[in-house]
Amino acid sequence: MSAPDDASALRLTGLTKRFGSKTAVDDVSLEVRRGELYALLGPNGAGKTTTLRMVAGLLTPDAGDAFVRGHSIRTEPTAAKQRLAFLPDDPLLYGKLTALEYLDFVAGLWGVAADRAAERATELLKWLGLWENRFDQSETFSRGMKQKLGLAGGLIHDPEVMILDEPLTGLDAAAARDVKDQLTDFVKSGKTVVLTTHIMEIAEQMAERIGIISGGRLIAEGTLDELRAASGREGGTLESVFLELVAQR
Amino acid sequence: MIRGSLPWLLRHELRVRWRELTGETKPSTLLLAGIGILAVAHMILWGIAGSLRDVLTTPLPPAAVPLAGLAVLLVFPFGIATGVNHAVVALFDRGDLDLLVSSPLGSRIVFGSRVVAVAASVFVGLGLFMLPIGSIGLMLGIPQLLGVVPTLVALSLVCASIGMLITLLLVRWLGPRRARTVAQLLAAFGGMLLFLATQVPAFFGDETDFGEVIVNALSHFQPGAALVPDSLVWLPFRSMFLHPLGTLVALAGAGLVAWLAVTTLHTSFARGVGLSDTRRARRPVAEGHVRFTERGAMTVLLRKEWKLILRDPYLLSQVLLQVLALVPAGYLLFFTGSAPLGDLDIGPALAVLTVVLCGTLASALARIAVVGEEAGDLLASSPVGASRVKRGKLLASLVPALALGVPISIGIIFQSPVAGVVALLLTIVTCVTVVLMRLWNPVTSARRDVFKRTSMGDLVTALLEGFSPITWGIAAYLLATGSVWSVGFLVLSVALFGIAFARARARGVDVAV
Repeated sequence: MSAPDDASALRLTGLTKRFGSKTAVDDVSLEVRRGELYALLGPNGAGKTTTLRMVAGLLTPDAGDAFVRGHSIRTEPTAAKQRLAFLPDDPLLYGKLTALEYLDFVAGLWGVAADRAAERATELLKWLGLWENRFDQSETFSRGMKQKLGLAGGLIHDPEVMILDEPLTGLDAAAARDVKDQLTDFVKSGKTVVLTTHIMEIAEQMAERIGIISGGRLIAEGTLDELRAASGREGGTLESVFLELVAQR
Repeated sequence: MIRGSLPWLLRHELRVRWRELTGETKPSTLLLAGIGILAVAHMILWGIAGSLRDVLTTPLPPAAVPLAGLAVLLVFPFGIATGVNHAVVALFDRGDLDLLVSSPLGSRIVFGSRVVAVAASVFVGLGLFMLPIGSIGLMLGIPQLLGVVPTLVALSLVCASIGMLITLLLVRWLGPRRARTVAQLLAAFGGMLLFLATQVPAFFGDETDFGEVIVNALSHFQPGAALVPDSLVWLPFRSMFLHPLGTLVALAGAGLVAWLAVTTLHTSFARGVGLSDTRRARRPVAEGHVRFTERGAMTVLLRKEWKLILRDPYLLSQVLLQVLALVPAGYLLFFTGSAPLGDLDIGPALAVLTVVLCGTLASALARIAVVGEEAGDLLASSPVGASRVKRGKLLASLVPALALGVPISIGIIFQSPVAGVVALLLTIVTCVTVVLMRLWNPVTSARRDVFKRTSMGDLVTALLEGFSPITWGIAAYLLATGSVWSVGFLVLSVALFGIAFARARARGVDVAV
């Protein structure tokens, strides 16, 4: 276990991943504090998803490490995963399980006590507007409903850090707003969200700090104002700042 | 060719079908498989034709017509089952109907092209087994048997039309997914019936002159009997012997059936396209408290696997098909060389059957659990370790297979103690080894594609996994009969397992469970 730092929710140190001769993620180090929403931006193939998959324990880093609330994903994977939820752009659902059965299953994986899981499932399904659909198999759900059920699955064990890869992909305006509100509430409750998105407005409105990754390297990081200063585009939109920083690299 | 015409659309249909076929299998492999099937069909038919040579002399005896009619009727259920199977694919699997139906083309043309395309598929399917009749006829100096070609054309059109009708009815009653499942089971049973029909001579044993049996049967069609060969009932079947009027009637009749099918069904078809959404009607949901039961991670994993399998009729049907595929092998085991069942040592035979059956079942379930895993990332990102997840999948595949195999083996012990013990031990070993082999070949794909060749993963490991129950089964038989050759097959089976293990290690797969 690394040196305990109560303010640190997620810390990456020299995280590196190679696929054959290609280095997908190259020595990425960053820190996300508790109660923070951090957006990771980058062009297609920049290494955002690979980074998040290493943090979630789905890929083993070739070098470096990721610490979730001080627990190494390499040496203490169980403790790290216990505090983490990972939601990819395509929700991790079982089409033939009902919404309730799915939440029961996920709660079982994370070892949530049955009574607590039932209570939490009720809260989440009502909060996400899926209560009426709780006995329906998720294969009958719309894209937005699936995304919300995936989110409920991620929240059932009350994680401290939530990792979301393109959480708003394919959602209509109403569903996207719901998810954004839910993530904001989650962060307000002192939890941490790390997300990737290609929609600049989302990062601009929601993220406290933004990391820009390009060619596998973290090329810039900070608040929007800090990024503006780094790019030399004072008063510019995040989109213009992002394009400038990526072009400068 | 006029764009938008029936032939134009038909050409498109056939091209898409060909691409689908060659997308899954190389054209050279398809060609070789076709040649192989034709060769086997020639050999089987040559054997039957040999015993019927006296009957099939030129000029053909009048009784040959009812015989041909009965043969065609025998093939008919298989043809319809094939038609239903292809109809489900053509109507609901290809996913291009929304485009076609939303185009200015009439539904009659769209549906008509699908009927003809399905007929072409039925023609190929049945032709592999029936067309050799024509070539064997030529070899035997009975060129009239080339009439099998127009007969097959007519049969294919009729089967496709009826197949479409049944499919639309099934879809209406059961929804597309269940209709697909039922259609595949129909096709499997049809194929099995056809196989068993080809084995009819073996049932009569070596001492029976099959030709004589046929001649006796044909006495029912002699003058004065109900279905005399001259009866108009047999007229379409005369096409089998290139009888001009019979051929005309068969082709015209089939064309009429197809026309009627297209004319009466094309509107239902256009409506049926919208049925591809299988969402169930919402039922009122009562308020109430949610209650979950306290369970360990392993129980949670097992319940998930079994629930998902039990709720998927398509996967269940595929498992059943895997087991049904053993029927011909089982038949050959019990009846090879017309061995009378009375002389057979039933214990060893049951031992091999149990081992192969349970091994195949375990293998099929392991494919669903491993290949069909829908949320692998969820499991991997959970605190439950990868080994525990693998053990869960191992148990989920083993328990149903052993729940079947262990009681059967214990039953065999009462009949034949040695064979029973062998069956028990080797059933357990076989099931464990095949499931481990699948765990070491961890590819994933959509659940509906679990049993497709493209979802096999490492081909060599998949083949080893497929052959393993057979080699273990042979070892079980030899052990139960006290043969020293059993050692060889035991070594071979262990070697197959060892090769799969070594290959998995070489590919960097985590082999620990």
